Amino acid sequence: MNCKDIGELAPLYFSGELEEDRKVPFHTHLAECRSCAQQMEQQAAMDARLRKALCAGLPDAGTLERSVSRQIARERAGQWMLAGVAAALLIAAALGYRALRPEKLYRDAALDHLQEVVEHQPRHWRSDRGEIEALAARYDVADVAALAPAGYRLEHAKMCGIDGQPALHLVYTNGAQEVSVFVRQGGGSEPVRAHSVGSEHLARFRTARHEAVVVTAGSSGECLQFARVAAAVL
Amino acid sequence: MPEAPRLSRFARRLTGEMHAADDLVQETLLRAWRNFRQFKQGTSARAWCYRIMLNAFYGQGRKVRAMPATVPLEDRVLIGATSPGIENVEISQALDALPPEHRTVLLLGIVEGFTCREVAEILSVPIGTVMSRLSRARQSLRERLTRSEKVIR
Repeated sequence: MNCKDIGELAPLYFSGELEEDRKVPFHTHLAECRSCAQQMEQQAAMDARLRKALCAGLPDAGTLERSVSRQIARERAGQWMLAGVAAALLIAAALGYRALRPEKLYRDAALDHLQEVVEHQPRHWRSDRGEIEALAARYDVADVAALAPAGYRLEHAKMCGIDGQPALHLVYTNGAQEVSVFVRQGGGSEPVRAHSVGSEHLARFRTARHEAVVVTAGSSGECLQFARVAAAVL
Repeated sequence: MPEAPRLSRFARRLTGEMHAADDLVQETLLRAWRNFRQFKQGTSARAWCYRIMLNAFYGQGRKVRAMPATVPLEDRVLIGATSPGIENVEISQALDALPPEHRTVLLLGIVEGFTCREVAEILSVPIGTVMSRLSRARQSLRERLTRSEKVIR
């Protein structure tokens, strides 16, 4: 190790970072080279002077710390408030989306009617009046027969799931045409509105306690009339 | 906030003015709190805070850095050195006369006690750069102090 090496490694020597395998040659050189040893001594003395001048005692940062703590507390409160508002907006948006865009409800109801009523795919229907009334009671529907206009009779019923929620599926017939009425619980107030999925006609409404969709492959007028009668009862 | 007093001392040395230093420390601590997710576990939290402070200081622009020249000498001595006296006045003056990059490595490496590796981390430069800057800064400071002592004699 020569004088140039000593000069280069001096910062690591002073900060205590000199690697073990370099320490011995470093100290050996200092022991043999008076000039380098003197330089290191002067340097160490100057570092000590600098530390003595600038390090003796620390400023009191108490006021500053309290001020920062208050600011952090304010920001934390703001973050929670923001998170709350964001969550409320998300919930409102989700609810609004569900209320304003019931496409999935229409699709599910139309598909169920097609497969289970028009195509008669096997399902566990309840035809017994007592059983149907017991089912209807679960959905807070008191008089299932009264939901249909004159000329229609209740054929059978079952529980089902539409738009991710349980619903009561009632099937009425007038001898020529079958009509499905899907009823589920849920508050609101929306008038009867017509819709169509493929060749099927639908009508949806919401009352204070129920939401219902009427589906038929018949005419749009029949569908709307059926829904108006049901809405008046529910 | 155990680092606040040390940060405060470093900030006073950097800015040369107590109110600007307090603002800088406040900004540093708030940035550290806001960006704590960016802190890499296993590295020095203290070095991270100093890095934030230097970024905040140099990010504030020339206005803050120009401040020391406008502060009366008496104030500067009281701000920078904890025990006023001719010795401290000389050192303070000699330190302030150094280029900022030399002054910064001396403050971090000698006054604040960071290792060369930590100074490199704080300044985002290679350790070799820190070593050469420290050597030049030490030499420069020593020469200035020697000159000043000769003038006094």
